[in-house]
Amino acid sequence: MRRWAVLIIAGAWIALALLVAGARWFGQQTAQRTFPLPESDGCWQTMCMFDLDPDAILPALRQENGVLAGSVERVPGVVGMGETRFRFRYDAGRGEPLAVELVWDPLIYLFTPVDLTPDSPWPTVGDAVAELGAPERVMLLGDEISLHYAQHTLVTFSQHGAGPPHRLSPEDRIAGISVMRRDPAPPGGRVYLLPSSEWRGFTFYEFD
Amino acid sequence: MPRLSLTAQRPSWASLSHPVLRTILQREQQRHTRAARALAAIVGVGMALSVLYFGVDAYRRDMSLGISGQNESPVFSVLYLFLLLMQLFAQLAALLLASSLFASERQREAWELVKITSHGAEFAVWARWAAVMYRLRWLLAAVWMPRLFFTVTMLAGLTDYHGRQLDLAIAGGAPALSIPVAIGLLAALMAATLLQPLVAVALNASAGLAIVALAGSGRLYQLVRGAAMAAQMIGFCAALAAGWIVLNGDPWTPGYATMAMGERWASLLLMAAGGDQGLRLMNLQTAFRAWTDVEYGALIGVALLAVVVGELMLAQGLARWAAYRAGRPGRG
Repeated sequence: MRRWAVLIIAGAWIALALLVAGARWFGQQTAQRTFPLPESDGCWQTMCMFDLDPDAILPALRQENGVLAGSVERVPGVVGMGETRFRFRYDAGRGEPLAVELVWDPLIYLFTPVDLTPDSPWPTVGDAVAELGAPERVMLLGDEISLHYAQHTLVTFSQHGAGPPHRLSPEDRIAGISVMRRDPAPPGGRVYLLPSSEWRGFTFYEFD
Repeated sequence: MPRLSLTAQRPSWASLSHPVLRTILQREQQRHTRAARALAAIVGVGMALSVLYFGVDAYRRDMSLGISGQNESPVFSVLYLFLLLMQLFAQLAALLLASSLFASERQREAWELVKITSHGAEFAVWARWAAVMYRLRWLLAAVWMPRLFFTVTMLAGLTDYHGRQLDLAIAGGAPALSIPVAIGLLAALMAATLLQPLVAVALNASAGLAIVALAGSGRLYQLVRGAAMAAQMIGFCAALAAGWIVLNGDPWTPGYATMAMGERWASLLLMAAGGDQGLRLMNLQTAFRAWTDVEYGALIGVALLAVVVGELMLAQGLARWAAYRAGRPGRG
């Protein structure tokens, strides 16, 4: 009987390990498209924003894959801030095209979703971390928590719960994706002045 | 070359064609009239439907029974309490059935003849163990099928986040895990949670046999059996309560905040082994929360699988001991 039981347990374990590996592989093969995240070199799709001047952004956006050409428009920026703002609709091939706002500045650019719905192709924090990897630092900024990466990308989302401590969840929606032009981190690592924490996965965070 | 098929490995007394098992099952069938069996079935189904209705109603009112409701699917929220009660019922039924079957057999005059037959007492005990599992087969199927569904749901959940759901669960957690190790640990958790309720029922059946072998079939037997059932219920509630504090993950409550990491880990294992038989961990989000919120939480699956193996060995040891003791000369 002991051999019989050991056979069942070992067989179940091996079979399930194969199924888990298979499910992971299948998910990677059939991943649904979301709004593309900026690359670690600061470029978004084929547009390297910091190399462009504001007038070149509008035609460049119209050329981008997924951007509905007729939907791109320049909207009034914030007076005195030197920002240039654009709105466009992005079609990820599923659901309704997503309205996105791009705020551009010579030192930083920011994508934010407009009228986000549950089936929008806008990425969640889980999507972002799956693609970008573990962030360098998790920071509390006002009423938002942000994930800071070694290169340029900054992912922010509204915190929830009665914290502190605050729970991070892969299902959290990203409020904005910004890319900052900045120097590489010094050898000792970047210094964060605001309350922050090292990345410890999707769990509770306390900031100091 | 030895055969490696499961049928070939199955012991003879577990086969329905074995005369001892067949006799026990036939005798059991004759003990109750058809009307009594139908009445018991109606009452059982009625109670099950009531608990299910209670679960649906609570979910509609945004009250999850026994779980936090955070990140749980509607099916899981509705079925959790129902399955929990069914599992407890199956465990208690196994204990009661095994002990009453064996006690009534020992009171029969034929028992002395069975004892002097070669391996007679041993076969009698093992066949009663198999009879209990056979009698509870539909209840076990009802407990097990939803678990199979939850396992499939977990596998489907692994395809989320571009197939990197597992990568997210181990990102930044302690200990640092590679993907192949994480796959093995998650598979161990799934295997353990699938097998745990069946093994727990098997262990209870063995415990029922051992109680009769230890205490005979008189007043002491009634007392020990009652105590065993009470201990099981108390252990069940305590294990559930311990794990509930950890899994419902409310770090603002003093109970959670003052818990050491080792205590959280032990509470999780206690809940999975002695409480809900790992049912809460059959939700991928909950399982991964346990991995990230509790240090070394990823090892819960392997620990639970070790518990399953230990319980199996204990079940076999208890039944063997009961057979040995029942077969000794001079004991009723």
